[in-house]
Amino acid sequence: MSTLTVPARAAPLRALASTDHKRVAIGAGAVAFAFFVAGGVLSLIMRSQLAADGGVISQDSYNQLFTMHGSTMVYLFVVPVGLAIGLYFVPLQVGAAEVAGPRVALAGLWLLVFGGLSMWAGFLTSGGAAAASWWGFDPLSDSLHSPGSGMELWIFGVVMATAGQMLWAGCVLVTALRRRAPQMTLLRMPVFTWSMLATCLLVVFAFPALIVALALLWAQRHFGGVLGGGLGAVDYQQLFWFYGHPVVYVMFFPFIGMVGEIVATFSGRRFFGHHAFILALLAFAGLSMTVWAHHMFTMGQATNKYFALTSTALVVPAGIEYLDLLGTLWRGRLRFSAAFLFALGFIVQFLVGGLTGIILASPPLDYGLNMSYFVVAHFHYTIFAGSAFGLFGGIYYWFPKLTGALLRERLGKLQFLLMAIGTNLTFFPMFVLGAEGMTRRIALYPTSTGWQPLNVLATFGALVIALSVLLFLINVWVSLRSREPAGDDPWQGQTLEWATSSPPPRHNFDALPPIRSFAPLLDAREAAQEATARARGDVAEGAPA
Amino acid sequence: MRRAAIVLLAWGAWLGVMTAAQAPFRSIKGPFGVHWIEAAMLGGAAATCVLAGLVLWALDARAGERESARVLATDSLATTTLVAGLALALLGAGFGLWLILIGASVAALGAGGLARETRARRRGHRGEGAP
Repeated sequence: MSTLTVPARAAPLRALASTDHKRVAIGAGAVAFAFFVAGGVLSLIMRSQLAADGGVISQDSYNQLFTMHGSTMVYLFVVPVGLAIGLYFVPLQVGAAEVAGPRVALAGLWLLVFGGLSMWAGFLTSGGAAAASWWGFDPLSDSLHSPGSGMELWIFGVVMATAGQMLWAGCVLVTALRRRAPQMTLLRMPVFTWSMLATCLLVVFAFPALIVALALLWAQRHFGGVLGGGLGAVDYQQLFWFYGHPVVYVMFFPFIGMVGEIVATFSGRRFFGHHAFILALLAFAGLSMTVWAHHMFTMGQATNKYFALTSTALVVPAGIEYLDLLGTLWRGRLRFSAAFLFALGFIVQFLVGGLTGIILASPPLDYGLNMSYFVVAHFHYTIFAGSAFGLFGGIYYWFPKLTGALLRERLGKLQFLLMAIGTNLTFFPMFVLGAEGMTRRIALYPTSTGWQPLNVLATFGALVIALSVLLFLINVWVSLRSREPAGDDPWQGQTLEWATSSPPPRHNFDALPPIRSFAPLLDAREAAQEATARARGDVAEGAPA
Repeated sequence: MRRAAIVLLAWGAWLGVMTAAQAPFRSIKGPFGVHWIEAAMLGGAAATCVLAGLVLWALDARAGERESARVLATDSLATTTLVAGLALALLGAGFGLWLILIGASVAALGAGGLARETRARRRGHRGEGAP
């Protein structure tokens, strides 16, 4: 297939309207990261309130903050940033010149921007931002309990951001399925591309439920009677969680794919059990569509036995994926770069989140822990201690490809250390607080409970995390201001993105290497080594004794 | 490329199996039994996925192994305009007809721009194919 590039417009216009998947992805990543910082600031205010046990903000403001913190992190940061990285790297990894539907991808970026601004504009309204949590359950979110424009803006914002994510997922999915280079068969696609494919399947087939739920909620707020009678509010929850649990895996799969690439590269080994990993991913993705009502165990309006069974069954594909990661590390020639450290952090810390998930998958145990800080600790271990570590690993790994410059390794390792300490100081005490009965979403608690010391510890940990993020931003600034040239392949990568220049040209590749496996660059290196060894052998055979 | 549809067909079938796995739980009566919406949502996703797989299969079969030249547009201001218009129109649902009308006008401008871009792309294709 040949490509023809249409001349570009002026630079400021390109920033607004570029259809290059790499520019769209960088724009989306930057927007998502800005929302991450904003959402992080909200969490620091909430943590200050809990450490001081009141006096920092009002209860109503606290409700707005935890709603906007959760909404920002899920709808505007983790999901978009994972998809953005897929949008950048899937076309490169499959040897495509372009993403499928570049205009659609651009539309997704602007939907994220407008959606995010709409959600946050709620703070500017007289009643404040939405305060009905990131799930917006009815009747808490109806016009009686959540009057004002803040909730309306939240609904529109979430719909826009989610629609944008569905557009991106469609683009990435079609690229992986239909735009692969001729030699790139399905089974030769790298683990990251497969993890994005599984992610996009979830986005395309689960996310529409959220848009339906929010449309019903909007109709309920304006016309009434839509969700009010019978099991209406429960049906809203069914629809919401049909989106709300798969989204947890949308916030996991891209990052385990990144970690897979990092582990293989920095172990100097071919990814162990590639085909088993793919099967496990697809089975995992399918199962993750069937577990949503475990969020509703205590409501008495869901098939608890079925959902307990499917939720527990998730450990099988998760176990296979962990086995593959550990198998890749086993006897590898490990290089402890910042990217590799973050990947190891992901493997260890996500395990804590995953294992505590097994506890919550059991209805009798969930009855005791539901709505407690144990649940908060569990999902922060999966999403922050897990996925965010995978994300930073991915950033350290792929930053040279994006910019042509290396991030500073020493600063990266220091950031990892601070983030690992901060994360565990923040979230581990929450397991204890939850087991002791501290309920989530409370702005105040009785002093007699004795929860304050652990809350102070968690708040100190949150400040350490903030410091580590600041260090990362400094690292990006320093590395771009005073560039250490990375070259095309600074890590001895294995997949196709390392076969092109850094950053890649508009059409991605001038020429593709032969693709005979999921690690074509490793194949080429091994072939070259074998040829060298054979040549040496020939010389040795022919040499006089 | 034809085998790409297998992914969607297999995954849709897997969702179908998981929908069918709800059947034994129908014997549970009362609130902890199977609710229609649980089977409908999962079954709907399974059916949609299989359908998407069949469409992809048919598309790939029709396209064969032919690969045509592809024009890479570098930017599309019309897309940005269209999305801005749609976003304003959506917000208008909460804030009044005036915003819907402004949004619709901006979206129409964007749609017109997209039509222009599509025409230019077609011309570009023809130009490249000409001797």
